[in-house]
Amino acid sequence: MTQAQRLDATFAALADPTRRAILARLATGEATVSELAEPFDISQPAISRHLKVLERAGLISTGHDAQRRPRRVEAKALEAATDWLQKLRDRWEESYQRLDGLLEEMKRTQKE
Amino acid sequence: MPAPASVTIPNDTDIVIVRTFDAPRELVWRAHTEPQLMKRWMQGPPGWTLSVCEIDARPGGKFRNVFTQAGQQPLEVRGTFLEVDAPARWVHTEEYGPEGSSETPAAVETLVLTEKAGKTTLTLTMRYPSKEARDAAGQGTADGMEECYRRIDVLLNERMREPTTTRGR
Repeated sequence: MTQAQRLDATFAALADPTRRAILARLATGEATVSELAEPFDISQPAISRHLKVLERAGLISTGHDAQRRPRRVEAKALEAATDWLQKLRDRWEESYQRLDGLLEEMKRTQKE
Repeated sequence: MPAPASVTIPNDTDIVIVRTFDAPRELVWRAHTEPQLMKRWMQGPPGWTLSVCEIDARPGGKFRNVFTQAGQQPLEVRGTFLEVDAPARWVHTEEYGPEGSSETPAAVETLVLTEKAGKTTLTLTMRYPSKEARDAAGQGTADGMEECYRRIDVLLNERMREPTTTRGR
């Protein structure tokens, strides 16, 4: 996955209220699938699907305990996703650098 | 190379972008108002292209940008110019989705160009109806666009058929 695809996945994952609630729960400490399913009043398979989306986005990871398979938050990925001002700047800057090139070309055309 | 763009949130509702270009403002203005020039530099999220660009830069005139990517629903951004003072300033509303799909503008954008010694400073202010709307839009635009992610999420939800409304297990 490229950086851009990863960020796409991150934001898609964060766009869902249940997944945000799962993340909020995991932010207080790791939890198993059944522990996570309890407060949400939805089935374990549904929770598992949400967890898969979150894991693919790099927002959570699975612990080593093979029996319990506890999930926990990957703080770094979450930080990257919330630092939107910096990324907004990068995005505009990328476009504006193309505009720099275009303007140089326009200046040359004007002189001719 | 000009200094990189600065992006700030001076209050609860605005995102302000400031960038200086090594060119007279007439050219910067043209690059913002002539579709064939806009297409050269303005792009959507990574992998997306600005395939439709229509701009009628006069008060009451409309603009419409459609970003496309193979296999994805197109992303449409459009609005109406409220003020136009070429080549110094325009103000326009901004809405997402096809005509008639939203009741109120998502944002109001103001572009101001000032020229000094052959260099142009651009100030782009995007004003949202609330802090929540601003933050959501900013977060979305940071990596694409809010609408784009909402659509991806709708697709994900459809595919997963999550029983978020059906209770019990």
